[in-house]
Amino acid sequence: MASSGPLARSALLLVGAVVIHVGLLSHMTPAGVVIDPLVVLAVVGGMVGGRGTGASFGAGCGLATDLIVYTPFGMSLLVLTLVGCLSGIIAEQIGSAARIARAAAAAALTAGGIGLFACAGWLLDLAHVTEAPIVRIAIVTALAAFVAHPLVERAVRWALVIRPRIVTGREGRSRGG
Amino acid sequence: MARRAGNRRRLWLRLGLLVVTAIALLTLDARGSGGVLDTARGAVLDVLGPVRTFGDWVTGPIRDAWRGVVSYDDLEADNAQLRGELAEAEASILRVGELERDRQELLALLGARDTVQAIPRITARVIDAPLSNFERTIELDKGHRDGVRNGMPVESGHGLVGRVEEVSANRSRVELLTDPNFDAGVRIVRSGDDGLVSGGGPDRDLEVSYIELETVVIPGETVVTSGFAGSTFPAGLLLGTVTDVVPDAVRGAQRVTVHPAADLTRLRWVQVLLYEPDVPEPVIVDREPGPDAGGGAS
Repeated sequence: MASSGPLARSALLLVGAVVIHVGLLSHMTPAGVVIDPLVVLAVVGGMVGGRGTGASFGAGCGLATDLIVYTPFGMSLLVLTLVGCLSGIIAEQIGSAARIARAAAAAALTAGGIGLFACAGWLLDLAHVTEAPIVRIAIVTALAAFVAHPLVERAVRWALVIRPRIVTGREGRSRGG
Repeated sequence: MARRAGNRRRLWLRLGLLVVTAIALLTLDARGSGGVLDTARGAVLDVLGPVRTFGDWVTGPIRDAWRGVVSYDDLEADNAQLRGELAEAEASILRVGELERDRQELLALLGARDTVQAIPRITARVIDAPLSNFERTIELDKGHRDGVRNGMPVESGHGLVGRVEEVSANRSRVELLTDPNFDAGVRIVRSGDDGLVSGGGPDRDLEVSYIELETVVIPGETVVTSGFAGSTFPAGLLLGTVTDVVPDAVRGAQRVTVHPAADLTRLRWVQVLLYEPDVPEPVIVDREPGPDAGGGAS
């Protein structure tokens, strides 16, 4: 019963993200790019929850994407599982960095996630994936991830029931120099 | 130390399980046995249909205003071009009317009927909201309940757009004719030569193959569907015009490039032709009972 909390909350967050994607973001396309909130969620899930939770959370995001997008079923599941796990590994290297550094890392990882998706499309010989303007998609989605990071991080912490690490005065002073 | 190693093992196990699941789903989908997966996807999209429509209704005015501000110059240029085309069209109406009368008379003489015009059709709205940057199809707001079936041709006012690839209760997905997987039998109107058209990818022209080297093909010629027996398209649907012809001596055929008549980037409304090709009936051989049949056993 103790683990049903994060599971139910994560499911609720995913449903919310899908509704926002379908109802709002698919209609607003800056520079002709559809911003995919599920990629950003997978990245932040990995950064907040670590590699293991990131992989599972990314898998959830991938499955949700597979259910609404007409790419080969399982492709998003595969890519976002890896994205979540890699985000966790990289976040462990970064440690508890400043908020802006975390947002920048999330943006970079989101761009990497788009690149990984394109690589998967290339491996599966999907012309419509490889011929898409990958660089533009990566840049716009990364910018969106950077801007939305504080909100998404808070939502993911709520879903995974992870309290923000409170930096004590002494710790803060020692970090500052 | 042992706990850490255990955690690491559990992580790899979890990751491996997820990756294997994803690969299994990909394999199922690639082998075409993803019926359940497609049904699940169709059901989810049907459930989300009202959300999409509501989002379109809410964001429509904002998008239109933004487009008006950002692409004002383009709109002005389009307007000027359309005015020119309108004047040209008005001038040709009389000529077309005359030709149409001649055509109807000839059809009446031949006892033939105009098949394309006789096909019932329904108008559908294109859902102008792709859910991904990597989709190659368009979605319509009409589905199985409206009579739409897999394989039905879809056209705009200008020409063929593609064919229905997937249908759920309230919506359908259309494979555009520019898709690399798209192919159809076509006829070059002037010469009457038949070929096979295939998509060249997004925003690219189409390519017609199997046109003999001896056939004279001139840029600007009209290309229509040939409607061979069993084809998903009826004969006579306008596809586009020839833009380039390159003889390929190695293959012993010409490579004909065709520009689609329909503007696939600005589709708002389309028509689904409720056309289902006649499937040839199986030939039943009525055998005469032979001398060794029937009473031969006794």
